[in-house]
Amino acid sequence: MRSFARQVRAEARKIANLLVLALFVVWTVFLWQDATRTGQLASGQPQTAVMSQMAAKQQVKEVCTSGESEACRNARKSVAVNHYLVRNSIEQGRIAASLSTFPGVLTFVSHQFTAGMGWLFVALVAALHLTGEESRGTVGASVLAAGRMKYLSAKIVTVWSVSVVAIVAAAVVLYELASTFAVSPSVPTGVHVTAQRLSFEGSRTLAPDPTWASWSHALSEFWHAAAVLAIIAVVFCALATQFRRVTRAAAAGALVVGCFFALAAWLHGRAWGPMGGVARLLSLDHVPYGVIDVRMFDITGRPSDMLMRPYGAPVLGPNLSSQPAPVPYLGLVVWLVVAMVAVAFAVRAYARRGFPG
Amino acid sequence: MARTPLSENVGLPFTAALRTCSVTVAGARVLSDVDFQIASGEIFGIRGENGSGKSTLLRVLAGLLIPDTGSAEVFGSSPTDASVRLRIGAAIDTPAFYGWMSGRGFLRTLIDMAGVRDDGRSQLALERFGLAGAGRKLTSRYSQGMKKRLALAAASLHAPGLLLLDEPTNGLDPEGREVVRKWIERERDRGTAVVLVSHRDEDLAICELVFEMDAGKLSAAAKGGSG
Repeated sequence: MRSFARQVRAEARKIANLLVLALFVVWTVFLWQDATRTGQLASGQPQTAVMSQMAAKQQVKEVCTSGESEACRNARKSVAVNHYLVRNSIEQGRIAASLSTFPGVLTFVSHQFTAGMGWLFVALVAALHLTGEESRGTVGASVLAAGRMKYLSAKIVTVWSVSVVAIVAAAVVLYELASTFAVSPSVPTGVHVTAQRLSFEGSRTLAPDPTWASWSHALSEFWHAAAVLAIIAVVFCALATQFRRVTRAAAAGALVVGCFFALAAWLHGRAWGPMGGVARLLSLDHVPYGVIDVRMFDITGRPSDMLMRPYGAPVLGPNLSSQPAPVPYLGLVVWLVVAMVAVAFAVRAYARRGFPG
Repeated sequence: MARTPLSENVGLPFTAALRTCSVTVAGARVLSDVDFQIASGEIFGIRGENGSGKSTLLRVLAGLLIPDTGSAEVFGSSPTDASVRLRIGAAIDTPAFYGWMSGRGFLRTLIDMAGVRDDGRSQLALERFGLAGAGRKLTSRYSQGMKKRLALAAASLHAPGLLLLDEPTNGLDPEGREVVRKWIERERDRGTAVVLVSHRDEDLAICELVFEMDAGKLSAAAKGGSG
């Protein structure tokens, strides 16, 4: 065990280079952009949605005075549609508000890593770490010292460790940059309604989502991400063993990521964008998973009684409280099988492969 | 005193052996039915044209290449076995390093790769090849000669019982060549079997036997340095 730990330490020295650092920086910039977009989406939406809902209710009051006319039915439909928008917007606002806390940022980064650019990060790091040795000519000395299978195992463990460390490091960086994207969305606390005019009485700042802002939730999300990364690190390392050049391995990794995203979007086209599709394919889209996922745009379930009381302060319905995601056992088994098959191919490739000295 | 390949001396205890080994790379036969064996305390030289298969032979002995037919045996096992690996020291092909590591960092990385503790062997290896003062320097800033020395230092890390050296004095000044020659002789005296590939007659002069390699075939041996 101690011997293997030393081998992993050696691989860690190899992977600590400027190229990997540059990849991390690029990936962190993408994350910062995601967080900024989330903040921008969330900053004005709750207030607008609540106002729209009140306007729609006012419309109902005005047109539903003499029975169920066509105009009345349309007005009621508008209220029902806005109802979902309000719920989504408020939940989005609360999540965006939680991005000013470290657990919130850690949850955000964990999600984005497992259902977004993180896949490409892992694919590129694996390509650099494995095929880089072959193109550099250092593989012979390493294989001679460690042995073929321990060499491969240490590589996989290192790529996974770097990915996990990247999540924590990116969370720390984003937390330090929180002032650039954190928002404090608010909702109206009351509205004056006259014949054709709505006006605020005041507004209430939304508190951070208690689940997203909690350490226990953030840590469980982090471990979940670490488990997903363990599988994809194995898959991408195994893929990289089939190539001897960094460019070819990186291109193959990017191709696999692209195909997977396309497959996800095709299977789950209703989800918001390819990331949402990936999240679904990995069973990551259950509440409370994912900022950029279906929850923001397509909450299903029984309408709550939110805003049914005229001019009352908006409250979340009971069915909006975050639910722990069920463990996707079937998906887990499928992914483990995929990883095992990939490793079998990698072991076969390395058992017979010749290495430069 | 010319001798035939030792594979014919059945019963002689040997450190490493190839038995009718053939290797084909990208459709081309690089090694062809090669028989070879070397015993403890012997230095055998191999010379031949570029591309004749000398480095391939070393790679097979190091377990970095698996023969298509025939077998390789080192210390009674396959050279890929864990029990054997650390007893092989190899400096084959052009020296290659991680440019972002220092010389000492590179050696420590190899020691960690082997799963053993650095009990001062990295420092000793650096001193052995005159690199004690350059241990902290990045390998990307090493001269060709320093890179060669570092590769040899890496080969000497674990007090190997079998040394596989490919053009060990290339890029070295006369002083460096003398350091390497003395080291090889010390290793021989310690009981290490040394396989030395070189174009230089002065390098091969310390060999008991020198084989000619031609188009993947190993020919009968002659006394070292005699051409």
